[in-house]
Formats: sequence, structure tokens, C-alpha cells
Amino acid sequence: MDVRDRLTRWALQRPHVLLVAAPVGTTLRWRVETELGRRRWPAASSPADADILLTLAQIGDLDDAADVLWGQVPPPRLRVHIDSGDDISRVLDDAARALSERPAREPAEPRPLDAGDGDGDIAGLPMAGGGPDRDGMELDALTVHLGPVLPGWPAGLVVSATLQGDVMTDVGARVLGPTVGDPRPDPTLVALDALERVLIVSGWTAAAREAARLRGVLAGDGPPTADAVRRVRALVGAVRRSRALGWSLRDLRGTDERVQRWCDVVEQGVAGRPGAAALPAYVPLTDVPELLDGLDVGSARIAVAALPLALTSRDRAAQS
Amino acid sequence: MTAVVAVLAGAVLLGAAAAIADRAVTARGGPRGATTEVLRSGVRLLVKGRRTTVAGDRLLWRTGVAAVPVLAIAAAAVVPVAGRSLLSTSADLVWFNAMEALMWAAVWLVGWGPNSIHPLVGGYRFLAQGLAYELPLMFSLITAGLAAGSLRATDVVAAQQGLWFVVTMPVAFVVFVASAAAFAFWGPFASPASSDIAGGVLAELSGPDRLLVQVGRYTLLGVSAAMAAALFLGGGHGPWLPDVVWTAVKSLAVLGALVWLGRRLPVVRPDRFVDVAWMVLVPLTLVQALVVALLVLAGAY
Amino acid sequence: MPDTGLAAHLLAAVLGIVAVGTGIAVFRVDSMARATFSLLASFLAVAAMLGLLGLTYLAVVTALMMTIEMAIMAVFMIMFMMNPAGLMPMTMTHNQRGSFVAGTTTFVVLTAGVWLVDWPARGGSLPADATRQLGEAIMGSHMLVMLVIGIGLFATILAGTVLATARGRYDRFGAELDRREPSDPLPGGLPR
Repeated sequence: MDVRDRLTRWALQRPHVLLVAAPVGTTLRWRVETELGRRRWPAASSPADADILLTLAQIGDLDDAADVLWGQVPPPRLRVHIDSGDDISRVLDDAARALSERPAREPAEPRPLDAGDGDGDIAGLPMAGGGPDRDGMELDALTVHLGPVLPGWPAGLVVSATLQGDVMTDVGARVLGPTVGDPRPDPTLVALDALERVLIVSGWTAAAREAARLRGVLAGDGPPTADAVRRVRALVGAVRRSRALGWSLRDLRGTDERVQRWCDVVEQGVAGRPGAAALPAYVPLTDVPELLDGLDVGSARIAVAALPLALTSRDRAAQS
Repeated sequence: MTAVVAVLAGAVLLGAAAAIADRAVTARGGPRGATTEVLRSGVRLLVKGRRTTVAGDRLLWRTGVAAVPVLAIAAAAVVPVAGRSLLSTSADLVWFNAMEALMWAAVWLVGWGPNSIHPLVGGYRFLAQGLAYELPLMFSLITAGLAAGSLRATDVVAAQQGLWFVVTMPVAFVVFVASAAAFAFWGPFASPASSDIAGGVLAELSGPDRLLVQVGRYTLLGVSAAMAAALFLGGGHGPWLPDVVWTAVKSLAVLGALVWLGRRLPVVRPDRFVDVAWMVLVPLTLVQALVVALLVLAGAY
Repeated sequence: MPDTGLAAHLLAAVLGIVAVGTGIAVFRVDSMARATFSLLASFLAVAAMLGLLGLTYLAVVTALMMTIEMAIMAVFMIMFMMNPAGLMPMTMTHNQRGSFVAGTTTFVVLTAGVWLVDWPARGGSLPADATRQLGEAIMGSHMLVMLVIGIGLFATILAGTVLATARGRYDRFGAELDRREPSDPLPGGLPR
């Protein structure tokens, strides 16, 4: 029906995008995110909320993860790939057009992708076993993998844990996707990226959006304009002074100090004193399990968002 | 029958106003842009397909999802407008409380149903947060009833003829307005649906299910703002303009203030918040009730 | 004002069947979550019947209290149980013979009582404010007792909780109660 089609096209003019990016290729990711922000296309908070699954450049073994996520995106949906040399704007325009032509119903998948293969009890999945938790109670223990694609989460990181209630124990961390690639980006931008992650995960969406916009503005050529500097200072000041944010981050394994450090880096960078020495020391992946053990899922997400993780080979080289 | 339709329309309009105000405060683009965006999100959700999960409890899940908007509208049945409410019993305030409590259970069902870790964590966060907020909300409702000498919503409005209740019970007013956000898990209380658990209870919802839950949330926000205006800001009382207009103006004012303030704060972590709710809010609302009780005995009402 | 027409009788009958049916369902379903919510549905049907009888306050308060109870059950019986039995067959009955006998006897006695007792006729008319009359009837002459019992119940709950926790003041603040900040596995929102 014509009316229904036109309504669908109008409704999908601002599709929700789920971005699958590798640990390297940060610059491309930032350019894509800036363009998406300019078009006001929101980032999907989960696959159920997404219309477009966007994969960037080379994603290596993140491809399997992308397939699983694709299975969870409800129709009408579209899968798009952007390479480093592509014209981002044109690709997104084509995507928007193609999306509105997608059917609202698709033939069902032959079997759900997350059903188990084994001879477990229900739908092939085994029931969760039990075990004593930190208070000595017998709680069910569930193995869970966080990542590699979550809002406000370092790209490509997968944290596996045994969840009892929502407390994580037996934490393990690994990286998916290519880790060798382009040069390290500007420290100010890295710091703004980290701040954006923390703000997203803390639920301060207005400040997170401002941080993303400023990252896009500062990534442009030439020195930062006076207006940009003013906005950066305003954002950093608000983040530093926020009592509510400080309350959430208090006593969270040093997250508060890390956020203050990131704020320092941004301020110094914008004042014209950038330098790799200003960045906080990178935390190797092997330190992550100890840092997250015993935290609940929400706290762990905030802690990870603020961590300066060494995910790419250049970060690891810079550590030593 | 027309009354039912009027209440339904009023509740949905309040919910739409809440959603538009929310969008206008968080994004740039002004009120017209916000209205378009809210409509666009709504139509988009109607167009998207529904989801099912593996080995989920479909009956409980869909029941919870359907219950959320129904209960929000049921809570609207006791909001007094122009001296009447759709449902006018001798225990209106308790009905309002009961609808919010049922919504609390319904959102847990939305979290439990899909057999997925993020909604489950979101559902339990909502349980803990809601339980911590239940007592302060009850005490603030009772305080309004105490001052009016009746649990009927229209009596509470009538008792504010001379002086608005917010003057003598400001704590109860603030707690009640914040409870609108707490039970709609919105704003600073959005941890059951926040990004750190990938959308929480909303994580596995898509299409019409997601729309129902979002409509329910915003409707509860709007209806609670209207109830706050009726219980504490004198309802329809005011010079020159008719009752209905004053009710609308006050409700929208409370809603606007709530949305503006709520969006300036980050999401509070539930394990931090429950400490404050039990240790600070419960004694505070009790003391407020005591003060109002003494005032009632002294004949101030 | 209770309606005594045919519609009200039919509605009461339907609600009664729903209440009994969902009550039976509590023991037949295979999931603690479904059992909890069947029980809630049963209580809500009973609350609706109380509403039909014109006892509005009792109806709403029953609905409110039972909902809160079921939600807390969702925490303790589902979250903390070793096997909340989401999908596997489970059985919730014990001492089946004894409870069958006790239940049937109670049902028969109560039903016989309902039909055979000579209920007194109503003297007077419906009160204007049923809630106020209920409050005065319950608490009018027994206010002091209500207050004392209320505080006693609250103290019992607190005492029970304190006795049940494994950690006390001395674990949190040290043997001399002199630590500035308590040592908790998870910090709360207040600095205490």
C-alpha cells in the first residue's frame, strides 16, 4: 500500500545503527560516528533496537560476532559495510534508501542462532549450575560473555565471566578482530573517546553526545577554534564538578581518578600542550580480570569504559 | 463512556507530552522537531518486527509487556479533573499506589521473560529500586490524604481551597514527583533500562512490544505529574481560568520541571540509591507525616 | 455501593472460578515465576471480589499488599533458589496426603458454614465513606493496641534481619568500632 510504504520510508529516515568495529581503525570509526551524529541517526543500544548493522573496514574474526548480531536484528534491516577509502556520506545515503525498500517480513531463519547444539535440557541449552557466592549462598552460576559490541564499550573487547546474580567472578578478557593497524590517534581525541564511553555507560546522554560532537569537531584539520575550546572546557568542567557522577564513580577501583586523568588530558590537549606523555599508562589486557573480579555487571561496565586499555599492538608497544 | 474515552485520551496526551518534552530537552531541534521525532520513533516501532528469544517464558513476557501501558492508564482513572475522577472511591490514593505496584511487578516480568542476561539484570534492578522507593511513595501519598482527612482524590483537591499542600508538605511533594521518574524507570532512575546493560529490560524488545513499554513509561510519567499537581498543587484551583485549564497547566508545569531536571542528572546506580532511599527518604517522609499530623491536630486544615 | 444484580453475581462467580483455578495452577506449573504470578492472579481475583462487595479500601489494599509480597517472593524464591525451575518439571507439594485431607476438610467446613449459618440481617444503611467507617471500627477503640503491635512488628522484622546477617558492626568498623569508613564488599550510597 502506498500510504504504508511512505510511512515506512518516513519512519526509517533516522535508522538506528549498530556499529561493529575492530580495535584498530579508530579514525574511521570516529569519522563514521561523526557523520551519523550529524545526520542524527541514533546508535542502537542493542540488536533488537537496530535497523542497520554497520561493519567497518577489516573486522577479521569479529565477522562471526557480526553474524550472530545480524540474526538478532528484527526486520526491516540492512547490513552495510564501509571501507577506509569509501565516501561515508554516499554509503549512508544509499543505505537509507535501500532500507526503506526492505520487506517488513523476512522468511524465518532455519534455526535460532543461539540455541545450543548439545543435548542439554531445554532447546539444547544446559541449565545453569550452582555454586557458593561471595556471601556464602548457593546461587546459580551463569557463564556470560560481554561484548564485543555494546554501547560505551571498547571495540573488539570480550569479557567472559561467571555471573552469580549480577556479580562477576572468574573474569577473562580477550580481543577479537585485527589488532595491527593504523597509527595511534591524537591523545586528546582518545581521551574524549574514553570520556564519551564513561558518560554513555553512566547514563549522562547529553554530555556523552556533546563529547562525541566535540571529538568530531576537534578531529578536523587545523587548530581548534575558540568556540570549540570553550565548549570543551565547559564539558570537562561539568564532568569534573558533577556530584552525581562522582557519587556513581566513588569507590569503583580507581575509576574516579582515571576519569579525572582523562579530563586533564583533554584540557591540556585543547590548551595546546598535547603529548603522548600526558596519556595515562595503558592497562594490559591481563590486568583486566583482577580489576573486574567481584564487581557487578554495571560497575564492571563503568570500570572498563574508563580504562586506558592496550588493545592494539601499538598500544602494547607504547606500554613498555 | 465519554468519560472513559476522555481519560484515555488525556492519559495518552500526557504521555506524548512527556515523550516530546524528553526529546526536546535531550536533543536540539525545538518542540516541533521533538514532536516529529517522537512520532517517527513510534511509527518506526510499529513497522519493526517482533522478536522472540530462545527458551523464554513467552506468556509471562507478553503479559508483562501488555500490562505496562494498561496499568499506567488505570492509574489515570483516579486523577481528579474539575472535581471528578473516572473512578471515585473512598480509597483513590491506594488505588493509585496499587497500580504503580502492579507496574513494578509487570516490569520485572518484562525482564524475566526473555531468558536473557541484560533484561534479567534490568528487571532485578527495578525490583530493588522500586522496593526502596515504595515506602517513601506510600508515606507521601498518605500525608496528602492525612491533611485532607480522606483518601478520595477529589476530597484532597477540595481541601486545598485555601492553601496548597505543597506549602506544608514540600518533602512529600518532591518525593512523589521523583517517584514518577522512579516507577517509570526514567531519567536518573533509568538503571533498569540504561546503556550499561545494553538497554536492560528493553534490550530484547522490538516492534510493538517495545512501543507498548515505552508508551506505558511515558504515560505513567505524565499521569503521575498530573496526580502530583492535583494532590499538592491545588488541582484545578486558581483565579480566572476554568478548572480543567488550571489542571492542565499545573500538570504540564510539573512535567516540564521533572523532565528538565531529570535529564540534567546521570543515571544513579541502584546499589547507591537504595541506601539513600532506606536510610534518608523513609525517615524524612515519616517526619513529614508527623509534622502534617500535628498540624491536623492543631486544626490548621 | 455493592451491586446485587445478575451481572454482579455472574462476575463474582467468574472471579471465584479464576481465583480457585489460578490457585490450583500454582501447584501445577513448572516454574517458580509462573507459580508466583498465578498466586498473584488468584489474590487479585479475590481483591476484585472484595471490590464487588463494595469494600473498596480492602480490595485495593489487598491488591497492593499482595503485589508487593509477590514481587519480594520473586526476589527471594526465584533469585535465591537453587533451582527456580524456569522450564523443567518441578513439584511444589509435600506431605500430599495430609495436606489433601486438611484442605478438603477446611473447604467442606467453610462451604457448609457459608450456606448453613443464619447470617444476621443488615441494620442500618451503607455508610457514606466506607473507608472511614472501617478505620474507626478497626482502630477507634483499640488505637493504643494497634500502635504497640505496629511498633512490635517493626522491631521484630528489624531484629530478625539483624540476626540473619552474617556481618555486624564489628566486622564493618573493626573490633574497637573505630574505623572511619566501613569495610563492605560493596559500598553503599551513603558514607557510613
